[in-house]
Amino acid sequence: MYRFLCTYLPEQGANIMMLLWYLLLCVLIFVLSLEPDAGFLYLAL
Amino acid sequence: MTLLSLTVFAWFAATVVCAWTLPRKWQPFTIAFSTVMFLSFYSPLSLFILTGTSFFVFFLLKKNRTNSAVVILCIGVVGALFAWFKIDSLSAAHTNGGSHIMPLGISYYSCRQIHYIFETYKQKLEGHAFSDYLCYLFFLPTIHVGPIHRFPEFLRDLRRRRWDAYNLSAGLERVLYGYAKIVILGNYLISGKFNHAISGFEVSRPIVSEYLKSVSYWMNLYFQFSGYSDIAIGFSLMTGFHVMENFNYPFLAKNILEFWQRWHISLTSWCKDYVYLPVASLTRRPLVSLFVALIILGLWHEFSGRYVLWGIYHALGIAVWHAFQSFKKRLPAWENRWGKLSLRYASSFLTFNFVMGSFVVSNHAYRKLLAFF
Repeated sequence: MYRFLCTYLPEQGANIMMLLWYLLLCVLIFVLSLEPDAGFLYLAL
Repeated sequence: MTLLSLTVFAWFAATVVCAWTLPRKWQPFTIAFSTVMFLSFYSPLSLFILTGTSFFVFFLLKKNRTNSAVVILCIGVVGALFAWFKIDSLSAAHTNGGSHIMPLGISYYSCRQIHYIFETYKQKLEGHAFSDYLCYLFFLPTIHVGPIHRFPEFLRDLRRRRWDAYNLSAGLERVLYGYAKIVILGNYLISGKFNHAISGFEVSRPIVSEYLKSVSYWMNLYFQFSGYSDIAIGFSLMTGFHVMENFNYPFLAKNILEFWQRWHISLTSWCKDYVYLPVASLTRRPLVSLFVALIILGLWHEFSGRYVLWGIYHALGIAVWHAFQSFKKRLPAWENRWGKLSLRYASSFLTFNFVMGSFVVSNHAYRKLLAFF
């Protein structure tokens, strides 16, 4: 993804976009983890 | 206990910090010590079994490396313990309505121990100390959900391990993507939104609804499992160890054989090396060893009749695919680009549905078979 961004943006811009992307993922994970059904559904191994 | 809990995340993060900040000679033992504490807290039974079998296997093999009777005894003890807990947890699930008493990670460390026993017998392992072996088995990132990584690669990393900021950042990114797969794609999109969307079809189009439910189950399974593997691989990288990949876009597989080369790679390669090849060399019949390997693969998931059926179903699929390959040579080759492309997508779609069908066979068809007999 970083390589893809670097083809269209300067390095600084790509860095900022990557940071924003990670931040977005962190926020989404935190917010959605609050839902009660989060858990490992695979067999008991 | 789930890897998603903040406590477990903090535990893993603290292990990574300790694995780099403590004096160098203590660093590998820090990870092993953290695993001991982790198991004693979450699954003392698992700690007891892992410690007992580790000592038993290492010291018995140390003096009898090429003695086949000792090797069989070691494999027998590890395999029997694994099978016993599998059967016990299944019967407990039937009687108590789902309360499993499975020692944490036994399915994975049993496979690692069997791998170690085989490789020691074949004399393919470099000289190593008992502490190296303990570090391998008590490796925190992979103790819970694999991958079933191999001892030679682990030993190489253990000896060459150096601080590398790139590894830390790549590992952290991998962990983040793992959590994203589980929480955003698996739990929220598939389990939540997609399931809610297909619930409207239940009355009006029951067949479509059943099909979409299977798709949902299958996709969720992939996101959950590959997400957990990503977290394990990411944390391993952060501690300076390269662990083998477990998934390689299995839904793009063009046939069932390719699917098994892309899905749960560490277990499939383990099954190929330690079940398929030994049985094939004993019987000289690849078809027999194929069925044995796939049935063992099924039993690894669950010690039940339905997973034997699941294994037979997959083995039949691979056998038919091999038979088709010899027939395919006689067919004219497809020159048209669009024809080739559509054939490629049709193959992936067919493989996807075939694999999804295995869960239908193991769940619904098995129940009908039981009722019939």
